[in-house]
Amino acid sequence: MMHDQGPAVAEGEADPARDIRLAEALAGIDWGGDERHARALLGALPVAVYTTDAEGRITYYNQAAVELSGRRPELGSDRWCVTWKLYLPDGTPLAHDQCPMAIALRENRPVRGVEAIAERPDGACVPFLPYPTPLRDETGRLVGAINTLVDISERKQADRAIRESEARFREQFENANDFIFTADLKMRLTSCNPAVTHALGVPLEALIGHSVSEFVPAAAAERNRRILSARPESRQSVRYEAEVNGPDGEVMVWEISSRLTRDPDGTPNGFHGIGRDITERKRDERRLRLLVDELNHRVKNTLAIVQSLAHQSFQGDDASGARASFQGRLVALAGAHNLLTSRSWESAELGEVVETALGGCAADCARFSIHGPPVPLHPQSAVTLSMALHELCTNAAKYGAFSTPEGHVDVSWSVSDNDEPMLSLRWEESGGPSVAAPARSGFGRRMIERALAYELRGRARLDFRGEGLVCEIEAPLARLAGKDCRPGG
Amino acid sequence: MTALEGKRILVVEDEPLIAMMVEDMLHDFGAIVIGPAASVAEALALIEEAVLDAALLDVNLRGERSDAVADALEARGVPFALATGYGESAVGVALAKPYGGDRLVTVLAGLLESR
Repeated sequence: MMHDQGPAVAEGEADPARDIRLAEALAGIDWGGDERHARALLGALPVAVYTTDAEGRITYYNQAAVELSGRRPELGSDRWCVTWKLYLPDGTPLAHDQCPMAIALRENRPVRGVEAIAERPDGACVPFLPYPTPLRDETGRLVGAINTLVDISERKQADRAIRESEARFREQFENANDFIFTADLKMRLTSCNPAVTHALGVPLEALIGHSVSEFVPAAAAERNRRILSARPESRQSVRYEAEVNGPDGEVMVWEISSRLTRDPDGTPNGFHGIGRDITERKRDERRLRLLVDELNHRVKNTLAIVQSLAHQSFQGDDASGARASFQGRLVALAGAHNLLTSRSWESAELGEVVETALGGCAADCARFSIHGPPVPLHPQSAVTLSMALHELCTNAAKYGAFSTPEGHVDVSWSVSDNDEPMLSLRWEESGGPSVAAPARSGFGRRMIERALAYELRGRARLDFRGEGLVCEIEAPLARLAGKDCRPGG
Repeated sequence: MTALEGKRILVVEDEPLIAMMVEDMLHDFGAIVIGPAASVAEALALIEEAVLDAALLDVNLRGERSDAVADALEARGVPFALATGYGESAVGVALAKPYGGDRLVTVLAGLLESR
């Protein structure tokens, strides 16, 4: 019996599913026993419950029924309903004598599955599910009915929120400029937004159920499949560029971000993809690259022509030294350009600049050593430094460490660790012939002590030591990296 | 006596001033210059009739790529270096323009050795 079971539910949030179970349980209880206990139990329930006599007059209602209906029913005179006004879900008014409880009593049977809306005296409307059930005595005679009203307004609200949210996403799906599509694991399309049909120039029916491979060039299809199946365990999206057949036979390039979709137990069940057409961008990039390549080619050709002009101009034995110097400088300049071109003229690494300059001069790598941390150089700094290093190399080849088989050049640099980091670079020759400061300041020396120092906003010092030339260069790192924009560079 | 002494080198270069200089450089090293050819057609004709030890080929001849010349040289087993302003990484055995005589002789000597 019910006495020792106590209230079946704990206090808490509205839970229509629980309330429905409760309503069914109440309907199944034999009410013939102790009415006092039954009422105590019903009064403690958080679900609206009331009873009537065989004529439908209200004989009992609990506090939850007052809260749901927004009123206190008149015991013994209100019939069938505790609620004030009733409507069907479509808004049609429902007379009290036509309500589910009236039907249950009239037809002596439980009524289920009817939804109604109660209007409170204050105007608020509550959608609910009634569970009217006839009550009979031991002989089976109808003595009244019990009704449980389950408030489903929260469920209704949630349903509406889901519908609204779905409508919102549907709107985004339909109107997005980006391509949105899903496919099954065999890469057959399961949905596409209008952006896809528009871009491919085919109706939706020609897409759904068709393999993605029908819309991409054969080579790309294989590659796409590889990319997508590469990491089946990954839950992250994969981003890649794919070629897609356009409507006029033109191949488009799409940037696609796709990932595996999974069913609730985690088994992969398809793919979801978002893409955009980057054909124009790719075309522009290619055009720009061709243009840069072509321009670069012409600059080099022009340098070669300048070289040829010098070659023709400095004819004769006297001029051969000058011709060689000039040619060397031109080649050094072109070398720095090549290095920068391979880095798209963004920056060059100090180590590479030093290596290129020394490598162009000393054929044997064992003749020099290079040590230092990575330092990015602004293109202009890289060119000036390349030219200065070329002068040092040429000088070493003529008079210094590279003029004897034993000579060695060591280039090392470090960066100071303070607010304004400075680069200190040291060129040190050893094992060559004894050197002395030249009487006249030649181009090489001016290039290093003036042009380089000026370009780098730093200091450059040449020390003609007996054991070999030492050149020390100091410059602020910000200037070298091109972050210092003061004029003069 | 250099590695190029008496060697027959085909020069394919459309820029006359550069062609002149390359000719001078090769003469200085004792090589015999075939050409210079300024177009694909001229170069192909020379490859057809002349005996060659090596070739120096400009990649771009007045906007026309010299691939056909490279193919013809390859078919005849003539080693060649590609002179290019696009930087050395662009193709196989390459000479980045501008280049000095030392670099030219090093590259050509390497080609002749590898034959």
